[in-house]
Amino acid sequence: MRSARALTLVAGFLVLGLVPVVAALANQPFYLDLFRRIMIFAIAAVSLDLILGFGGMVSFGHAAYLGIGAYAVAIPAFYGIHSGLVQWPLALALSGLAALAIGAVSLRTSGVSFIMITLAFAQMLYYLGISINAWGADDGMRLARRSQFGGVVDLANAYVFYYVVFGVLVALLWLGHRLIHARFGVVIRAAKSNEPRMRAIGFATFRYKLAAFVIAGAGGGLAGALLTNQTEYLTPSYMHWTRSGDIMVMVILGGMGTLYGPVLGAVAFLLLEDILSAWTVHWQVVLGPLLVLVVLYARRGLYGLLPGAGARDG
Amino acid sequence: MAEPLLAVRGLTKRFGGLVATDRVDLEVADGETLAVIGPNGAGKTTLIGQLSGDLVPDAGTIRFAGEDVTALPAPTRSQRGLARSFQITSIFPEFTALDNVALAVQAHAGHSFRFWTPARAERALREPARATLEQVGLGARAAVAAGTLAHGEQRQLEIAMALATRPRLLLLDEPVAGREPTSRSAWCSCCARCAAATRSSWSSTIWTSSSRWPTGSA
Repeated sequence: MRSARALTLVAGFLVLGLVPVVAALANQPFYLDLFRRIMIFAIAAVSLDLILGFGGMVSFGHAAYLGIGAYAVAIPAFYGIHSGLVQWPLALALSGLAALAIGAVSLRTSGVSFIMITLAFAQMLYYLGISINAWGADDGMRLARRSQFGGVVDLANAYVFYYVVFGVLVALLWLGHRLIHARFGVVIRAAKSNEPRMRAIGFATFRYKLAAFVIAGAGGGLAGALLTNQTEYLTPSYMHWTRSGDIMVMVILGGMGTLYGPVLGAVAFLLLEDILSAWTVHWQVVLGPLLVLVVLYARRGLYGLLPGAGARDG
Repeated sequence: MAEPLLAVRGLTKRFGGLVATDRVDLEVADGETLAVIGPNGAGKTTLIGQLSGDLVPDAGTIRFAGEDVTALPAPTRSQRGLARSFQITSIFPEFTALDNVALAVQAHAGHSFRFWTPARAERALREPARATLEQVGLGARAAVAAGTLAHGEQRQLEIAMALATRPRLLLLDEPVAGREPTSRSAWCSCCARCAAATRSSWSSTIWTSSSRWPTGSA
């Protein structure tokens, strides 16, 4: 079982890693763009799954952090600061801080209230975005250049950018793997399983859940920083609630509470979007029933259908 | 004379018009065992809930180990050495029996903001947990998912988790409920032995719904 799973994972990473080669050979640079976009959303989905799947915190506002990360790149760029060494840490810090504030309030509730509060915070940020005229309001603004790394790493090169995103995704999965099995991750998962019991044996669960919320927010911010670089454009619609829904669908489709499921979910969601929207703008007519089927029959999402994925995910 | 380990004064809890806990005074000395006996609905679990910090009393004070803990939340009381078991089994069903107990050990082994070392590889968590599981007679079932354990085994696990926090005062809420009458006596002795082994001074507060405290000699 374990080796089948390891093989599947290696194959998955190989496919993602070889996309640029195939795209170059087939002379189809479009695939490079598509899969880079897929991996960026995978980063957002993996970070959401840390709190949604592992921690049982159904945050319906993950796009807020995506937006904050995007603004953290675009606003400095607007004022002539193009260094990624400024923009990216700023994206991580600001989205983490926002998550700290939002989480400190939202985590005092649970269930439907928690869903609605996280949604409300994200929508507040969205309306803030569309109302600031200096930074493009609802039209957004163009990113003059992608983040600069002193000429060492040139994101203007589509291949370099691809492998940067790939590297970020692999690093995130590796960190996630360590985290969910370490003491911290055990606390998060157990708090999802039975929070009153956690408190009875002596865990002040709030601080651990808040920390997980902040880590997930920072992950979303990093995805946002990558996303503006990808589109070379900033728009407040990155923070729209439907975007939060999309990321959530990726997590559910791929497999909640699994580390690699959200990656699979992002691949499936965005490939479907790409293929089906060529036929009809109402491509979600197909996505909807598919999601229903997955929820009904594949408890661990698409990830659960992979060979060797039966064991508890690591 | 030394202050008792637990001193409760005038504890009162109302649910609407129902007074579940009516000006209860009680004291438990170090090493003492106290049984609270009453029929269903007498308010035994409500009392335990207030002692453990899960319920906020309407009036009265709770002093534990020389400190007023009335306003402290449940996790803090657990850190002070108050442990409870639940009448309705409360475990982590997806985790193995050993993982369940290791969590209780982890709760009392410093903070858990550790992001790197796999918790399952930490011998400082696993070994005390395994020892506690063996104490309650679950050693052979360590690797089984807690949710698939038999009902009686889950009751044993419940006690093991409370014991693993190395409490000064153990609150056992109906530990014999749901066990075969023939095995109750043996199980009670087991609980008592386990608790005695965790610390030299311990107190256990035991609730049984309609029957007497069977061993009487703990």
